[in-house]
Formats: sequence, structure tokens, C-alpha cells
Amino acid sequence: MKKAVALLLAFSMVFALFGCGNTDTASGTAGTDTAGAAEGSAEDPAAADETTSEVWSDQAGAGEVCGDENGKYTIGVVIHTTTDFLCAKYKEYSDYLGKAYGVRFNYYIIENFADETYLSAIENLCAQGVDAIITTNFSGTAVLQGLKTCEQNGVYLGVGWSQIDESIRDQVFASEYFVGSSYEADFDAGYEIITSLIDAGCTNIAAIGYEPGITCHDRRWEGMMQAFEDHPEVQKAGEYRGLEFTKAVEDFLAADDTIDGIAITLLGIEYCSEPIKSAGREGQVKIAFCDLSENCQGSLDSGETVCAIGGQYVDIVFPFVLLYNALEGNPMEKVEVPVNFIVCKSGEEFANYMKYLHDDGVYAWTTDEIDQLIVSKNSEASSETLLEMGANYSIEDTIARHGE
Amino acid sequence: MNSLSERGTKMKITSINLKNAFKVILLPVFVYILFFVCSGGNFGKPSSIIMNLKQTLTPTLISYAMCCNMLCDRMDLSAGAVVMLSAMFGAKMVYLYGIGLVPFVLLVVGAGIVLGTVSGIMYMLLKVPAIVTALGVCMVYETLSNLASISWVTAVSGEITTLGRFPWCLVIFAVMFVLFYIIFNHTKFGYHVRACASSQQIAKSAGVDTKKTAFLCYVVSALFLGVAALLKISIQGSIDTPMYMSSTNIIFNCMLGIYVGLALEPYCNLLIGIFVGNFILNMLTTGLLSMGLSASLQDTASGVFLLIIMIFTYNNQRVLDFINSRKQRRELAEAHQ
Repeated sequence: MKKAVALLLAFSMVFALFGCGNTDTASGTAGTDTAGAAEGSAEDPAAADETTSEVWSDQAGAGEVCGDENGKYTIGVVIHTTTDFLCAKYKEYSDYLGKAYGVRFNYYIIENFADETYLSAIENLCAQGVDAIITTNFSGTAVLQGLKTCEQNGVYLGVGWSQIDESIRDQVFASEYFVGSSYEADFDAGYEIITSLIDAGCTNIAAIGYEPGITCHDRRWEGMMQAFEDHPEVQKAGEYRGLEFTKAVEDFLAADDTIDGIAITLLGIEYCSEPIKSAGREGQVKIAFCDLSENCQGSLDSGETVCAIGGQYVDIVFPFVLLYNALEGNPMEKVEVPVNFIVCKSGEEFANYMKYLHDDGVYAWTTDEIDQLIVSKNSEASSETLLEMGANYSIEDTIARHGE
Repeated sequence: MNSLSERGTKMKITSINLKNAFKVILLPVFVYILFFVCSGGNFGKPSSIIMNLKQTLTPTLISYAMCCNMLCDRMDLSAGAVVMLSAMFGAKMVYLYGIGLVPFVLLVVGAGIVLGTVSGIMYMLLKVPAIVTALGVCMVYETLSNLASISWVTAVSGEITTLGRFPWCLVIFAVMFVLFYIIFNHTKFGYHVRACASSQQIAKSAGVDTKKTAFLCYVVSALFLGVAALLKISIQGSIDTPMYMSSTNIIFNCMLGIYVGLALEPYCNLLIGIFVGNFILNMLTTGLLSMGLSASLQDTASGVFLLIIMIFTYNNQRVLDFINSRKQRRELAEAHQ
């Protein structure tokens, strides 16, 4: 009897967890008028909301689909989540692009960043019969192994959020199934978060980063260390690279009560705010970080956060354009596109970012603009334009193109 | 005459207790002074010690949760995953439905109890070594955490974190401490656990239902893991998404706390020893940080330092015996002369 009750409780718990990701399913599936949503998403806020709820509706792990359900091409996306501030928008943008260009996106959620996990994801997507794959944060020599799998299956590969390692660059670019990649200015972002803290008057800064192995975080860390080297007048309270960020913040604050700044390569508010309050140091310790989140507005307004860097959801555009042209039989010249970050140092800047770049239905580049990059629609389209787009990406540039 | 003898005995007991208390306090004081000196006074300010105290609460509760199983040679590696998944479940409910503090508390603790009990049921049903079952359960729970997570981290703030602040976190800890003290020292279950800890075979021969005791160990553990999850997310304000078996990181430190507690058991109650052990481990981390050691070196230094403490604690009686025997031999030699 006791065992039966315990088992029943366990099952209810497990089902409740699976249910967590599907709370909006009803509303999501109700709005499956895909073409209408695609057309209306940029202009009509109501349609945009519908689109968003549809994108958010399927959060239960692997096998998430968005874009044009009956699209002529299927692109698999290997990513670690689709539910946080950044990745939800990334997926929303892919949904918008997919519906406009007749592409179905099949999201493959990975639970860690191990090479084997990526390779297994690529193999599984190839086995599912996708036409192309976008891998995010995929780096190191494993790219060659992934590419080999793609070659064997005749699947195109584009890489996002990560720069191809210099040592394998030539081999990767030589593959006919590699279309190109895009990456953010992570080194500069790392540098910027330290200098922002220094500009805000911080003199004793703790540096916290994701454990070594993910290219974008490694570059951010290198940028942070370079900034410390260039500013010897500032004391580095200590370094931590690992996975227990909150504990690291607590340990730093417990070890040194003169720390007045925390620089972290990811999600600063989520990891730092409560430990700072818990240590009774509210208002005395400033934070700067990469990866924007929904909590940035309040934290930037209050002055707790002095620099928040992000906006990299637009990265999807670059591998998408390169892959789409290749799938259409018009491959562009292979390029690695460096993409700017959006740097927010005040509540106003973040509000502008939300208004012009992140809110429901607004995107950095509309499909009208992306049409100019599709060779079948514009024979003049070239990779040079992609490079320009990446280099010009900013709030101001978006306002200039889309208007106030 | 009798009253004098009783008084003498009482004084002797008091003296032994005082000596033991002194020995137990000596260890954290030694660590404190060592790091205070080595860090040139950077370490050990009152605010740091209070922070250390706060950081000790959750690991100590996890240590209590793992203690009964560990004493009976069952390694429950899923404990960390239970804590993370329970906390994640509560945080996700806050994120999705904006639930209040009371439902949050009930959900987190309830989830801990259910998940911990499921681990126990799996152990009982599968009849494979506890460590194997625990590894499997740990992987399943980590995957569920991944599915339930919002991002790298799932955060809560505001009213939801009230229990992580003073004095609430201390009150919760004190209640759980008293509860575990009673369970471990003054119940039939506690006696059975200690009997099984000495020898499962003898305990079984003596009439102890070892299977029932094992299952109850998991149930008690589940309750403490649930409360530990509540304290963890309330104090930290966020819970990381476990990956690469990272949930086991939590329990390895807690296991060290138990080992220090066992080393201190001859001088104090095991519960107090475990608390002191975890407190020392936290002081170690902050102390090494104060000295400017990088994260990778910290792990090495922690390991070495802990070994020194354990060697000292386990061997100090032998050293004292050696000194005493030398003294006695010298006195005997002098007497012969």
C-alpha cells in the first residue's frame, strides 16, 4: 500500500514536471494559422502575440518545431534551450523567417555542451532527414567530425554563436557542405564589462566565468583578463571558472568585504543579485555581464547593473541566409560573420533595445530586408552584405532602418 | 561519603565534557587563525563569518540527510539531484504561475520528499547496490531538471526568498537540527540505524528489520533534502541547471562534512560534528579565496588541507598516547635510578 502511494506520488511529480513546459499549449495550437501569423507578425501586435505564444508553446525538450510546418526545407537547430530570454527570441525569429521562406525549423535541445552531445545531435538530425543544420556554440575540432557526418548525409551545416578555430578553419571551409558561420564580439564584450565597472568607480572586481571549453565564454574571459592587464590600478579580487556561480559570488563576498564589482560572463542578475542582498551588500556591489534577461530593466534602472551585453538572437539570420541560398542551389561565398553585441549601460538603452529589437514582433531585420540577401530574389546578393549587417548591427542602425 | 563520590564523578564528567568541547572548538578556531594570519587579516571579519554560517546551513542539512545511509554503507549519489530538481520545480512554478511563499515552500519540500522516497523505492525494488541505483536515479533527475529549467539558471526573488534571510534560515535550520537530533538519538529508528552501522548482520540477528530501516533512511533523507532544497534556493535566489552530473558536486562537500563529523564523534554528538565539519569546509573555501588562490588551486588546496585535518583528528589520540607512554617510561627510568 505504502509503495503504491509512493509510486503514485512519484508519477504525479514527473507528469507535473513535463506539464510545466506546456502550459500554453492550448493557446499555442489554437493559433496555427501560420501564414497569417507570418505576414502579420511585424506590423500587427495581436498577430505577433499569437506568434510568440505559438513559439513558446512547445518547450518540452527535444523535437520542438517552428516555422512553416509544411515548408519545402527542414533546418535542424542544435541549441541548449529555447525558453530563456535569448533563446526564446532566437526561436521566435526563426519562426518568423521560416514562415516567410517556407522553412520548417526542428529544434534539437541538448543538455550539455560536450562534443559527443553535439555529434549525437547532428547524427540524430541527419537520421531524421533534415536538409541543413545550424549548430550553436559548436566549436573545436569536433566541428570536423560533425561536418563529416553532414557530408555523409548530404546535409548543409552552418555554425552560430561560435568562431571556427583557426587551426581547422581551412579544412572546415574546404568542405562543400559547410556554408559559413557567425560569431559575436565576445572578446570585446568581456573587455567592456570590466571597463564599465572601472568607469563606474569599482576598484576591487571579482571575475567569474563559465568553465573552460565553450568558445564564446572563453573569449569573454580572455577579454576580461586583458582588461585587468590593461588596468593595473584595479585590483582583481579573484577568479572563478566553473559551474557553481552563485556559490562563487557568495564565497567572494564572504572572503573579501571590499569587493565592489562582479564581472560575470553570463546572466549576472540571476547569479549575483540575491547573494549580494544576502550578504547585506546591496548598493555597494555593482555587476556587469553578458547575456541580457528580462530582469535587466530594473537592475539597470537601480544602478546595480552597470553594463549588460547581449542581443545575439539575431545570429540566426546569418547561418539561415547562407543555408537557404545553398539549399536553393545558389550558395554564397563562405564567410565568418562577426556580429556586434548590444551594450546597455542604462535603463533607457535597455528599454530601447526592447522596443526596437526584442519585443514581440520586432526583429533586427525584417523579411523585406532579408529578401535582398536571397540570391533567387536578388541576383546581386552577396556575403559582403552579411558582413556589413553584422558590423552595423545596433539599436541606432535598427531605428535608422525601421524608423522610430 | 556517597554524595562526595557523586560530586566527584559529576565534576569528572563536567571536566571531560569541557575538554571535549574545547577540542571540538579548537578545530574551527585553528582554521580561522591560520587563514587570518595567512591572508594578512583579510579573512575572518564578522560579516564573512556570518556569511560562512549562512552558507553552512544547507550543506549541513544535506549531510544530515545523507548521514543515515552513509553510516549503513549506502552511498546516495542522487541526493544532489533531488535538491536541485526540487528547487527547480518550485522556481519554475513561481515563474509560470507566480505562486506565493506558502505554496512554494510546500511544493519544494513536497517535491524533495517524493523524489527522495522514489530513490528509496528504487533501491528497495531493484536490489542492486545503492550506488548503482543512485547513479541511475541521479541521471534521470538531472534530465528532468534540464526539461524543467528555463535557462542555465532558474531564479526567484523578492518575497519568495524570505526564508533565506536571517533569522528565518536559522530558525528552519534549528528546527531541523532538533528534529534530526531526536530522530537519530532518541527513536527506535535511530538505534536501528546505529546498529546497522556497526554491522548489518549482527543487527539482523538481533531482530532489526534492516530492509525497513534502509527504506526509512531514504524517507528521513528525503524530508531533509526537501528542506535543504528550500533553504538552498531561498538563500541563493537561483538554482543552476545540472549538467555533466554536476549535482554530485553538492554532495561531495557534504560527504566531507560527514567524515569530519565522524572524526569528531568521540568528542561531541555526531550532529554537532557534522555542522562543525561543514563550517570548516566553508571557511576553507573563503580562506583560500582570501589568500588569492585561483579556483583550480582551491580544489587541490582544499583536498590537501582536509587530509591534514583528518590525519590530525584521527591520529591525535595516538600521538597523545605516544607522548604519555614516553613520559611514563621516563618517570619509571628516573624511579629506578
